[in-house]
Amino acid sequence: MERAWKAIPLSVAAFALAFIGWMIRMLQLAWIRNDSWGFTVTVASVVIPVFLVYLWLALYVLWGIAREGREPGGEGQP
Amino acid sequence: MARWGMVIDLDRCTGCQACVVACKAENNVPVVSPAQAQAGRLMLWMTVIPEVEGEFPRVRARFTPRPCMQCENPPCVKVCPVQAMMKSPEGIVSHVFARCIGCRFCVQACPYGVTYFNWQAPVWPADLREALNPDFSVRPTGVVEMCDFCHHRLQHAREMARVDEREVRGEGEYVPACVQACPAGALIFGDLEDSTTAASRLAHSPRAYRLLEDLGTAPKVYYLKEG
Amino acid sequence: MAGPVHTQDSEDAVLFAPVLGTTRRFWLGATPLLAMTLWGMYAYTLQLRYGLGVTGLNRPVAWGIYIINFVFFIGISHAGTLISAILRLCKAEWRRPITRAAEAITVLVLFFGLGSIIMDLGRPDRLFYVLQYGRLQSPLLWDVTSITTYLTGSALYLYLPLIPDLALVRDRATGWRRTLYTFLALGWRGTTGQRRRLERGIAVMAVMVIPIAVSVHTVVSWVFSMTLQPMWKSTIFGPYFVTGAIFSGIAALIISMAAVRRAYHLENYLKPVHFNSLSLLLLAMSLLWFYFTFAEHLTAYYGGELAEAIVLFAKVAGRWAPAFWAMAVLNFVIPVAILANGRTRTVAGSVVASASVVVGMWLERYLIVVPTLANPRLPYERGFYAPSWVEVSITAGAVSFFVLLYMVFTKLFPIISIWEVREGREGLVEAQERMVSYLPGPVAPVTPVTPTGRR
Repeated sequence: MERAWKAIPLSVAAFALAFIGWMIRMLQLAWIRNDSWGFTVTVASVVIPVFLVYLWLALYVLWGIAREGREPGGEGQP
Repeated sequence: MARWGMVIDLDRCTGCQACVVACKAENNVPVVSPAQAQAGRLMLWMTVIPEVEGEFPRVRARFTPRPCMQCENPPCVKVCPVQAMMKSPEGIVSHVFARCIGCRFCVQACPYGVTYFNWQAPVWPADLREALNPDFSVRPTGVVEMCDFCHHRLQHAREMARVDEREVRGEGEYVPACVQACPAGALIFGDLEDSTTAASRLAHSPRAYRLLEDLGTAPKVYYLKEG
Repeated sequence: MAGPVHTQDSEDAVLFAPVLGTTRRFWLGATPLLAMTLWGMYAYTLQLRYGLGVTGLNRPVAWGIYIINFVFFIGISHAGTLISAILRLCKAEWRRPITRAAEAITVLVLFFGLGSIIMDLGRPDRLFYVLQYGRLQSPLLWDVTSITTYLTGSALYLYLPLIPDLALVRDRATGWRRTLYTFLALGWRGTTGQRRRLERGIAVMAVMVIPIAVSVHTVVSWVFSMTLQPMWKSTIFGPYFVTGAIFSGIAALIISMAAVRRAYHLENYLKPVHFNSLSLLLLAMSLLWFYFTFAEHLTAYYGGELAEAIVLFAKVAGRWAPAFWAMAVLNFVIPVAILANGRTRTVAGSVVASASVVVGMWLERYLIVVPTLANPRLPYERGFYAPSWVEVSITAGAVSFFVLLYMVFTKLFPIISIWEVREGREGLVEAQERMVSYLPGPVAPVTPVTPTGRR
């Protein structure tokens, strides 16, 4: 249980990074094959920021909550 | 760069369907039972459409051979999610069975309905199985297939021409099976970019029209109206 | 939110009860659903073995029930977004007992939408080609992208407000449940730092998930409207589908709320006023749906373009006329008749109207897909489609499985957001101050009002 709390924030962050990585791969394939470049750029420019927000959520919100939950006492009222 | 097209002279077509049979034999197109055919599962890459208009004595009958239109602006290629539909630089629209995931988007996107889906694994009766063409694949279940102007014949012709260190000639060297089989000479095939070929000449005939031209798909199959 | 609140515990005991224990009635309800699910799975194995030939699909109707289910399920998933996100942003207090149920529907039903489309593939073993070799010119790839984005977003949007409730349940659970909730609750203790992070996360997601949800069903509609088929090639499809999705989503939400209210004795939390508010939204969506449908069909009728006119005639007066007019009655006549009248706009009335809408919206998807495909532009290809028992079984199995999973969700997690209800009770002064600030004049300090508690 000691390390287990990291699992959720890290999985969400990993998923967000994996999706961004996939989108970058799509951009690369579209460029190399000269196939649907315009569409790929349009879609990527929308979804990559969204998944960056998910990444922020995983790290700032979820990781932050978990880390504060570990600290004995913590900030503010228990 | 060649641009392969077909011209179909409706004055000459007798509706004999030799083209249909030749296509099925050449491309190992699966056969289905009569019950399946009734249920709409018939597979005919090349088909002849009979149209009868009017009442006797003012009847008009027409037989229209319909291969894949091989569009310059093919909707099937646009919608395929996995690049299983592609258009070669010479304008041949073909299909990669090994890549197809069977989503049937191309079937819905084509306004001419030329794409066919393998609803089950194809089976042939014993005598037909012996007549399968070894130069062409047999498709598994769950993939789409369609006419590709017998593209494997183009590849074969190109290999032969390469021996003589030249390109494939605009007409005569490479003909799809349907064109070869037509006894009336109604199907004319050739390079539309080469002005010496009969196909390119007839494509500019005043009798020439294409199906659903206003949709903007720019098909490369021209029909010559009955004169 | 954290710490011992035993006095409130006895008040909200009914909210904890389903999570902490299971009655025999649950198993009695779950067993037939499980049986139907297994039957649907068996039907699918037949399809895997013998190919899509076991369905009623053919030429030209190569898309049928699976695609209809796909659109239908994704449509239902718009329940959570509207209620949860928009009402949160509007600070509507009546959303508090509803948000969890809505968000749960969204996350669960999205899997069934995805499942439906995977079932429609001729080669599901090649599913990952879509990721490896995808082309973003294809509307199916837009679907993959937007549905993944939406699924991730709505899962996060379900999870974040669940964390404080997980902490509450963790402190009351034993055994394996305690371990599970401890793991999921991320060590929530309700410290100011944690609360600040959580509230920021929820606020950001509430804003972001709305355009994502709109994009999802727009993109689903573009699978149809990007083709050249008659009556599919319509510019109205994006907004039309989103409206229909929200419409069917609210209906599904009302039904599920009524079900959990009955099953878990939540009459004190899901009051008639909540059903009334949702019913008024459902009524508004019914009128909006009627407007879009009318506009779509009038345009097709007036122009009289041949290919479209044939499809329109087939829908309105031809082979599909019974289904079309049934859809009009189910989606418009019945809901408006029940919900426009205050006397019939009761809990039971809203459930009847919602059930009518759910069936009617499925019919609407059916009428979008099948008549067009059966009447293609080139007239020699006219066809017909009747679903086979395989397709019907799989659909029944999918619906049963969804209900079953929803029931399991209510067993694992509180279906009413306990901390938000408590926050509502404790925050009455702020709520009143906010409302006073909307009125003219300076904001005067408000005399504190005691929480009204149980009636």
